[in-house]
Amino acid sequence: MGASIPSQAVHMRRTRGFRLQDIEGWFFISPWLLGFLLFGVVPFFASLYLSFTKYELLGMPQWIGLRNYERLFFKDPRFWISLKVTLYYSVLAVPSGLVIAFVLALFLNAPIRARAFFRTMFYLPSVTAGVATAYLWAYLLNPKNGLVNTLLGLIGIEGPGWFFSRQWAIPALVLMSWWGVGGTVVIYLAGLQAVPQHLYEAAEIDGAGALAKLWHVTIPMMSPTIFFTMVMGVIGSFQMFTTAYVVTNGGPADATLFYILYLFRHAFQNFNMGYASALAWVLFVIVLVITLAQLKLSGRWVYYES
Amino acid sequence: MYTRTVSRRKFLMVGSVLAGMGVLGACAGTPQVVQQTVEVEKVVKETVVVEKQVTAPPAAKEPVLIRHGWWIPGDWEWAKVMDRVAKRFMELNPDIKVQVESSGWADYWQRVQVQIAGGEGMDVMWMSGAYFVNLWEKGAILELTPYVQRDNFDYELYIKQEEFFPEGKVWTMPYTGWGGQLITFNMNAFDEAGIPYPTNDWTWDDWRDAAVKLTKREGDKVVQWGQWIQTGAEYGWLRYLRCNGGNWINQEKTKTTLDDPKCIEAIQWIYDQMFTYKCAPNATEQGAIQQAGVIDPFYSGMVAMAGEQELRLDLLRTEGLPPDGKVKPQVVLMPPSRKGGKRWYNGNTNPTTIWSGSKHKEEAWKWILHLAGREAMQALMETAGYPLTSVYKPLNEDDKVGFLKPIPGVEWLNLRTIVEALNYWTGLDFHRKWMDWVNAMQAEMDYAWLGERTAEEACKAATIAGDQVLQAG
Repeated sequence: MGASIPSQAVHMRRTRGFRLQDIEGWFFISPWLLGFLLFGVVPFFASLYLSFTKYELLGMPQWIGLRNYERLFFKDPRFWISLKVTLYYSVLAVPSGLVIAFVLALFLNAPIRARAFFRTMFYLPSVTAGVATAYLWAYLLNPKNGLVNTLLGLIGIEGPGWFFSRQWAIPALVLMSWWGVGGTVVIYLAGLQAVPQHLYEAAEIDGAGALAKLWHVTIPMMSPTIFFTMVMGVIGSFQMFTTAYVVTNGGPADATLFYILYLFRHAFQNFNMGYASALAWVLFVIVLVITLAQLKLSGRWVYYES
Repeated sequence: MYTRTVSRRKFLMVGSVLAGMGVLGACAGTPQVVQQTVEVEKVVKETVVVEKQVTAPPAAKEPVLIRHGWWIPGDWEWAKVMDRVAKRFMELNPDIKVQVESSGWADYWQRVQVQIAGGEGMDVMWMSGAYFVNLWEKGAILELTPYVQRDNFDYELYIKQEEFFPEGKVWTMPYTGWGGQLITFNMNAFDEAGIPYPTNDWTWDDWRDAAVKLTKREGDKVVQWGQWIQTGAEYGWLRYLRCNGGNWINQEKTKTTLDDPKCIEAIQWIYDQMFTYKCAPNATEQGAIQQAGVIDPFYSGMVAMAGEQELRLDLLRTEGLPPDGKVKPQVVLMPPSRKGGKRWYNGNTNPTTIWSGSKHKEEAWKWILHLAGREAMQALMETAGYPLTSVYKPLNEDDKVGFLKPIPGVEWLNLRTIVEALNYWTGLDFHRKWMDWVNAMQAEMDYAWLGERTAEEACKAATIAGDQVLQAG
């Protein structure tokens, strides 16, 4: 049948001129394209240029070469603190969030009663406004009369200072991050439902139990989905801002001075736009390197059926 | 599917026409009310040359719009006063319309900078020393010396803060002040503990001893703290340094001096109350109290004394005291410095400024002149509350108006103390890296307020952190 279609109808003739169809295409995507160029591409490269300047918003940027980067790496201990805080959070929040989301997805994928209700309930917090969630958790984790410490007190455990403790502030924020795993749960649910049933049947014939099926069928088949959520989770954890800004504002003693919060302060509190741009580019490179490393390592554990 | 083609030449022609239209459209700008300039007067005074443009009213008799920015929430009584003052000004000057634009502290400074950078700055900006130097250095602030001279404005009637007078010239007009540090105490708590009320000759040791006696416990739980000392910098520990004869930065503003023994002693005094005598909540305890929704620990009766308490006279005037009768507030001066016997309190003025790019400088000047006048100052003082203070000296001694006008239901409140404290007022020594510098020091001082470092260790670490900011490019 394919042979009966004239070849020029399938492969449109290339001419030196522009086809009206092309022009119309460009015209229709031009709003997005212009927006992308003006608010995406131009600021992207502008910030690279600004990172080599002293720019305080008012007045013109002054070229200072690598001095922003020199200050950042060699003269600014708080840059290293913010990086350490962000990495610490990322290491705790991402794996734990993925495991919790995966377990919840398994639970919600099982033939339980009121499954739709539970799916809605677990997803609901992830669409709640970040600031509202932050305030809610601030109340729950109040060291003196918060619900969490009150419950711990009932079983004889003296709860920590949470957001007011240098040691517990990050774990408290990790705890909060679990509240928003609903989005990942939905992705996992979609992934679980795409796992071919015949693989489970074959495993059962081979005598596999529930754990064996999970380990040898579900996890391998879900590995591309897990990989995707892991990459996005790591990137997201490096962009942690709202909660820290609202609840702790970087304290106590810089224990929650996240990288983006530190960048924000330089950009919009101190108006050191040049220095903030340098911080942004360093973050970009860090995230890029981590993502590339994840991609490289993914070949060892991610299974693509095709 | 059709595939009509257009030649490259045609495409480029059409493209050029469209681009030309775009450029022309951009040049055309937006329609504007035509203003006819009828006179340009040059006022020459000494070496200063100012171009004074007098413009005829527009054909449509539209009043000139003056945008006034500040960071006071719209629901504050003080913001309502501003609206009344603006309304009165517009009655007197029907050719000028004042538009007060309110935003939160952080948003306000972003707006100021971004709008100025975009050529759309607010005509009048309420100013903080934390940002003044930067804006002034960039030429964003209009010099007011010629206006002050032309209209014979007497600045000597006002409390002045040196940071706002770079090069010895006038850049700001007086409006409000914060500070004059006092001890606010609950008379009921003192009565209950059988302790005599504090007096102006109290020492730092008397103050601490009273805090210990006023702290009430039920088992392990503190039900009333003797003292509340904020762990933040500007409204907390920083203020105690100068009270003890120390300072946080050298005169040239190039070196942090928190490691000065006088500073360490002041920090030690705070630290001891939190961790040795346990009569003042530490950072964790303060955070827990505030996070639990206690907006004002003093007025809730949880605290017997506070060194930086906002008395909120505006609320006392409009709403009175909390009905539970727990709190009967009174104020007294903080003790003089142990090193030198002087009283030093930190204050801060917030004047008004005009954006140098404003198209309506004369109208903006008229407005800020009105704000600095007796009528506007009186309206402000009768409504606002300590630590907001008037910078207009004549009103500060007038017991018919302002602070000294008794507050119904709180007649015992010694308002004269608030005015007296202004005699010991000193500025905060703002500099161009203020915010970054304070944040860096605060992070180190937090270790002390958490009890993880001694006062001396924290002061030394904060000195290093502060200097790193000062020395950064």
